[in-house]
Parts: sequence; C-alpha cells; structure tokens
Amino acid sequence: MKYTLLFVLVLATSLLKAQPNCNIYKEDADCFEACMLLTKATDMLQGSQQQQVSFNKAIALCPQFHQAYYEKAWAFLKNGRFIEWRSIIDQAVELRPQEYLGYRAVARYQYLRDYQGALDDFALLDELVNYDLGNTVEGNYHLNIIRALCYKGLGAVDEAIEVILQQLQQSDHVLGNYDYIHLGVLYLEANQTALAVDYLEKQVAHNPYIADSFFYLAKAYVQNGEKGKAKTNLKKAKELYQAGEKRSHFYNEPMDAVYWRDMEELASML
Amino acid sequence: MLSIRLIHFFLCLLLFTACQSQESPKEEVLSMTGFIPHDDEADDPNFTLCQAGYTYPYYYFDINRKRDKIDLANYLKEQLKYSFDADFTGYLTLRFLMNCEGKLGRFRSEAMNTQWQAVEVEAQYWKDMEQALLSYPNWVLGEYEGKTYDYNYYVSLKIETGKIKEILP
Repeated sequence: MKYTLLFVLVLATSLLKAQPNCNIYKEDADCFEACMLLTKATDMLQGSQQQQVSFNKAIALCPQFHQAYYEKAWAFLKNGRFIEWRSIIDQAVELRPQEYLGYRAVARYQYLRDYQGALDDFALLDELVNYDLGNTVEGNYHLNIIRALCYKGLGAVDEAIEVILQQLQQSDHVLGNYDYIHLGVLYLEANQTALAVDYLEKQVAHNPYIADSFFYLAKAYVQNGEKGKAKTNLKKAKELYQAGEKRSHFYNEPMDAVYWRDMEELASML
Repeated sequence: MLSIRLIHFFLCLLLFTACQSQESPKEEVLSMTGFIPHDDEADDPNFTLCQAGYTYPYYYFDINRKRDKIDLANYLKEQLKYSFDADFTGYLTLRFLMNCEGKLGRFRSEAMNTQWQAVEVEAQYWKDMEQALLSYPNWVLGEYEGKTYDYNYYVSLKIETGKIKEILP
C-alpha cells in the first residue's frame, strides 16, 4: 500500500503542473492556442512523445511562450539528457530570467551538483531582483539555503554557514524541514561542536520524524564526548531508518543523505 | 474509498493507457523521453524488452529510493580506478534500459564539457563504464505489485580534471 501511494504520488507530481492562466493571451490567438495546448499537455504522461509533440506545437505557435520551454525541459533533466535540457531551459531563462534563473540554479545544484554554475545563476538573479527569492519548486528549501549548499559543495564551509544564518535571520523566513540539519552538519565539519549540538537539537525538536535528524545529533554528541546521549539518538535514528523514515528523493540524492553504513560506523565508535 | 478510486484511476492511466484502445498507436503515445530505440549496429541482439516500444522512467518505480546509492558509487569507483584525461572536466553520462529480468542494454553515451557542449572522449572510458554497470550485482528491478517492468535509467560521472567527483543521480 505504501509503495502504491508513492507510485501514485510520483505520477501525480508529474501530471499536476501549475496551469497557466491562458486568458492573458486572449489578444493573441496563436499564443492563446499554444497556452491551451500546454494546459492539455501537462495532463499527459510527463516525457511521453505525445506530450513533447504538444509542447513543440505550442512553441511553434508562440515562440515567446516561456512556460512551454520550462515544461518541455523537465523530462530531459530527469532522464539525464543534460545538453538538451540546458538548450531548452535556456530559452525560458532568456525570455524570463527573473522567473527561471532560480529554477535553473536549483536544477544545476540538485541534478548535476554543478555548484559553481548554480552560484553563477544566483549571482545573475541577484542583479535582476531585489525581492525575496522564495522557495524551490518542490518547496522544501528557500533558494538561499540552496545557495549555501552550493558553497558547501565547493568546500567553502564558512560562507555556507554565513548564508544560512543570514537567511534564518530574515523575519519572513519560514523554517524548512531540513535547514537545521545542514547548518548543524556544517558546524560539525567546521569542528564547532557546541553549535552543531545546539542546531541539531533544534532540528530534532522541529523535525523528529526522520532518521537524519537523530543521526546527525548522535554524531554531534560523539564529537562532543557525550556517548550516552549519542547512543540514545542513534537508536532512534536506526528505528526511523528501518521504518523508511529518512530523507530521500525520486530523482536524485539529497545533500547530507544518511545511510545505514554511516550508522553502523557511528555505532562502532560507541 | 475516494483514495482507492484515485489510485485505480492513476494506475489505469499509467500502466494501461495502451489497453484503452487496441487501435491506438501505442509507441506514439507511450514512447518516453528516456526511451532508447534499438540500433541494429550498436546494440546487443540478445537484449530484449518485455514491453514493446516503450519503457517507464526509473522514478515510476521509485528506483532511487529503493537502491543503495553508496553501494553503486563505491562499486563504480572501484571498477574505474584509473585517471581520466587530466584535461577533462565535465560529465560522462550513460543512458540505458533495464529490462524486466534485470538485464541492462542499449547503452548511449554522452560526454559534456563545462560549456555544456558534447565532446569526444576515449572510447575505452565508455567500454569500462558500461562493463562496470553490467557487472554491478545489486540493480533494483522495476517492480510493481509483483510484476516487473522495463525502465530507463542513467548514470553520470561528474569529472573534475580527470577525477570522479560525483556519481549521479
């Protein structure tokens, strides 16, 4: 039953894309038709030939219809056809840089671990907008947290910490489910154990539903010489992991993902 | 009850679209962006698919959540121990199909440099990468409710000055 629901969820997320408001194209018959085509196409199986044909028709009718490029590009990205993805999404970025640069940055980070490329996109976006960048398409992260994780990917731990702290201080920041995990792990990497413990305790309080929270807290306690607390948290992490309650993703591996062998390794230190 | 109906609706839509009309051009409808058509000259003639003319994307079977990413990554790193061209920075991507019996085939290679351009690399890289993928023992089948299906997948090596930095996805 669990996998049935997952199966349906993937399908649903593939099918249920944001529907464009076609009324804004009413003055232009071709673009209106392109928009209607896109609306129908987003209900088709993502990546199917039928859907791609519809996207191509929409683009031919209305070459400035940025959403058609955006939607068309998805299937190429998810299936490892990166050169084609880039050539398609670049057309959306060219038409609406303020709308798609953030998306392209996140995709480069998430699907290609192209940290520098993502940071370059964020820098371009910074020049264009002065409002809050908002969250990723999936909603799990604020874009500035992704920016910080790109610094981490490049080994710039201090910059990564600074960017996350700045974002957390924003009065309108909605705390993400994993923000404190990444900050805590960064402090672990920077050997600032007390701060790591502090933020990972906050993480456990905020999100006690995943193994990742407890595993990293256990690791921080080990680093802090508190083996008793480490054991308790590692036990909880293992229980959650075995119940399948851990961060994972349909398309790629999350940053700071936790594996069973990490837990075994930590257990051997206790 | 509603959720059960919804599940049935989506499953019918996904798995049995082709069954709705015997006259519909199935390949036209279902051929996916990740699908790789057979090439007589390049592909192993013994590699066959259980479905005709289409494969499902890997994520329909939750492959990336069921697999052990580190296990595959460690295996590939062990098998590909040599240095790639020290001048090369970019991605080496192999797309391929996994059939319902767990066999791999129809490999398609693409090397991309940091300018996102296709480039040529030594043919031996692809042979070794393909061999490593073929010999990996822990692939996850495209399984759903006791039946297995063909799916398409890819593995990409992120290379920096000849060294593997990441294994994707």
